Amino acid sequence: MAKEEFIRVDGRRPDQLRKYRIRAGVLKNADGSAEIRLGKNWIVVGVYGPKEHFPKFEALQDRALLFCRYHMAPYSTTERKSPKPSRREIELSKVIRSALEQAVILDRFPEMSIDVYIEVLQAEGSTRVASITAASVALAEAGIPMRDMVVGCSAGKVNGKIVLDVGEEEDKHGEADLPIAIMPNLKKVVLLQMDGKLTHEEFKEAFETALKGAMELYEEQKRALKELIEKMREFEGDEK
Amino acid sequence: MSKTEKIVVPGETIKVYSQRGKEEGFIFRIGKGNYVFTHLGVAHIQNKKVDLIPYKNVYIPKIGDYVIGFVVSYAPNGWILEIGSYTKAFLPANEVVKEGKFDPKKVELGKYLKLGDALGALILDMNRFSNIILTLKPIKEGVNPRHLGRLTGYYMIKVHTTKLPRIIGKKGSMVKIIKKKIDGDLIIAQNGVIMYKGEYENFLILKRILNIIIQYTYASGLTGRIAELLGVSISEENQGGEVNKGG
Repeated sequence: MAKEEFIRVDGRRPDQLRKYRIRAGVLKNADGSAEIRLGKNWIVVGVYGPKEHFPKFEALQDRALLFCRYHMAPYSTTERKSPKPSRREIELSKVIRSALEQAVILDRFPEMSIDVYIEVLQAEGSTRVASITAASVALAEAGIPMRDMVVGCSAGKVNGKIVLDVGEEEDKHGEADLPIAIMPNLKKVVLLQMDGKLTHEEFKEAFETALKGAMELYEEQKRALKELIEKMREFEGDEK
Repeated sequence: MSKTEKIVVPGETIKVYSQRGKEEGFIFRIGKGNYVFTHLGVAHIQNKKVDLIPYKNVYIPKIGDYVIGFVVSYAPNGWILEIGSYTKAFLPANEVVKEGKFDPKKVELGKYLKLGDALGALILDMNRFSNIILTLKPIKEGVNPRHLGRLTGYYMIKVHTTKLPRIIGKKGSMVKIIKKKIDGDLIIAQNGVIMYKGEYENFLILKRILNIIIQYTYASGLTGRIAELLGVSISEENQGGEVNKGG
């Protein structure tokens, strides 16, 4: 008898990401910007800075301040979400900031601040890791010095099976959710959260699965950034 | 001595390094002999040396840079100017007020420079703790004294500072070509402000050329293309008018 394959609620294999696409430089007025589509997730990030920090007494003498705002648009969810920053949004802003802070070389800009505005236009689960992935592309596009890119991906447990890139339904009805963010070249973990329960072995498996997904998204990040320069290299109408 | 050229993103590791890349802060040391690129750009690697042309970079002024700033605020003893860097610059009042010793109680600063005035100046001093001090004295050779001080009647274009090397060209080749086509006073400041005084039609041509240069920053043979487009031959040794590149 053929082995029964585990098919997820949206028809994906357990180790399959949703359809993804990253674009850099989507906003005209921000210093740097990026957009990510991960399944039905649609997130736009704008970066400003480095600039003088106000109020002055908050500025740090030895490095820049990274300010992060994660915000979900009122039309991003099935039921209207109040535009007021919720407890969840404030917490996510904080965890995204802590993840990005480790990659950005902040000590080059004392007494300055860098602003990262994350706007979730459409949400379908795992928005925090998708936001981190897009924010890091926007920071690179803004010309802000970074030690490495930051890329995030999530894994979870659904019906006793470890799955990659948890969607909205799986997040609600699954047993566990493990979002991670890494610096792929420096091999460092910058975000690790867990919701639900996993055994030690399951955790290891989920972590490895999320890591694999993150590396796939890292390639897409690189492609999105390199595309910006490729466009400037060839004259229009020239044969390659 | 093979030369390789590749597009790099932040975090890509490299074994070799150059003093230049390190100084300009485009590579970051992560361990013994290991470096990572910190910017997106095109890296030229030759003979264990790396030169990165970044896609975008934060403009950090150096002492002696020629910049064009705009008055945004007054201080008791001078003006605060926006120069497109990460912080604003300060121009002491005694650089402009020449009548005797400057006394903040008696002198009305608004009489000399108003908010929004454009000003060409040199960086006198700066440190990493966000103090940039400007001067109007020609402390460096190669700067036209006419371009120091208030600039009036100019058209202005702002470009990103990483595009300036391409706009100026090798030994000023691109600027020379542009100057052959359009006459008038052209100033290229190192903070990415380009000022032009002359006919409006020429300004529109200049704007178009700059747009093309910005769009194809990383393309090879750009100078030839621009010369072809403008109908100017590169070989002619016509210097045109004076161009202030600020060094």
